[in-house]
Amino acid sequence: MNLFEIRVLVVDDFAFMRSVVTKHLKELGFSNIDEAGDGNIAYLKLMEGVNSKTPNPYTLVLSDWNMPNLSGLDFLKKVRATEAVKGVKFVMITAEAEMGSVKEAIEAGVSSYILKPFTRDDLWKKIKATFGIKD
Amino acid sequence: MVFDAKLINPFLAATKFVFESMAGMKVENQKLYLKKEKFMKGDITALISLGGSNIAGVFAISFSSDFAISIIEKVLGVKYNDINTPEVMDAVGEMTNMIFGHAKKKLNEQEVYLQKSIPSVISGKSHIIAHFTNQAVLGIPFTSEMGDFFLEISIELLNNKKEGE
Repeated sequence: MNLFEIRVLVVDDFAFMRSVVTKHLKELGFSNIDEAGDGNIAYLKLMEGVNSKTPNPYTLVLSDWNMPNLSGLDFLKKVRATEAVKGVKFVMITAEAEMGSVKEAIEAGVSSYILKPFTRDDLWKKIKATFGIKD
Repeated sequence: MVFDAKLINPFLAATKFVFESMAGMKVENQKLYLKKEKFMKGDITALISLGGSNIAGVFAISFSSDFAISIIEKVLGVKYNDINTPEVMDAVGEMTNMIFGHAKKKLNEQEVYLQKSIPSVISGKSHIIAHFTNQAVLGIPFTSEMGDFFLEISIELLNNKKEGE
């Protein structure tokens, strides 16, 4: 698998943070990136990725935790409970305020988590670790 | 009026950390002062309520129009010409949110328990925010390579109850 060819979904209710993450990903070499403003929209996008006539599934989700409508944690639980998409790598983007609740995300099957704010290098290290790629 | 440094320092440290992480830019606080002027010093301000079982107050960060546009350009590589856009307001709010989150963690370690809160953003020349606390308001200027910006904090310990009590 060429990591830079995977399809990535960036989920955050703050457009600013979506833009920051997308910019970091593009600078790292990823080009197949989509964005969603909350967990419900993100879930629909994931399902479209596997249900369309020409399936193009997402391999990696980078999702904020604290979002309206469907939180990052509930989105994660929904993904892990859906056979068609449950294998996607799921990295939770957390603020310090949610650090006390990380255990819940681990129990729900999160692949990894990253603390805001983070640099492009921080994100790259986290993605490599998520896919088991060593330096 | 005496301010408790252990309540203020987490906000100073969090501000420095967030700007360095997001923009790769060092910012330094200048001398703290008791705010007497009525208006905010910046053109756009994000404020967040400091509420909890043993704490009350407001934290605000205020940018000039030029500073807000420049810092977003540095982080995103996109230049907005007007601060009165959803993108700029969103960015200022989220930066404030991250500062709050880091300060919250440090305060929790001192058994000062802040609840989750979301920022509000207002803009315009000579705008005012209300603090609704008995405590005086502290002004904290920050300097950076991109210019100055301003923090404003009113913070009051109410009692020694822990979270959830």
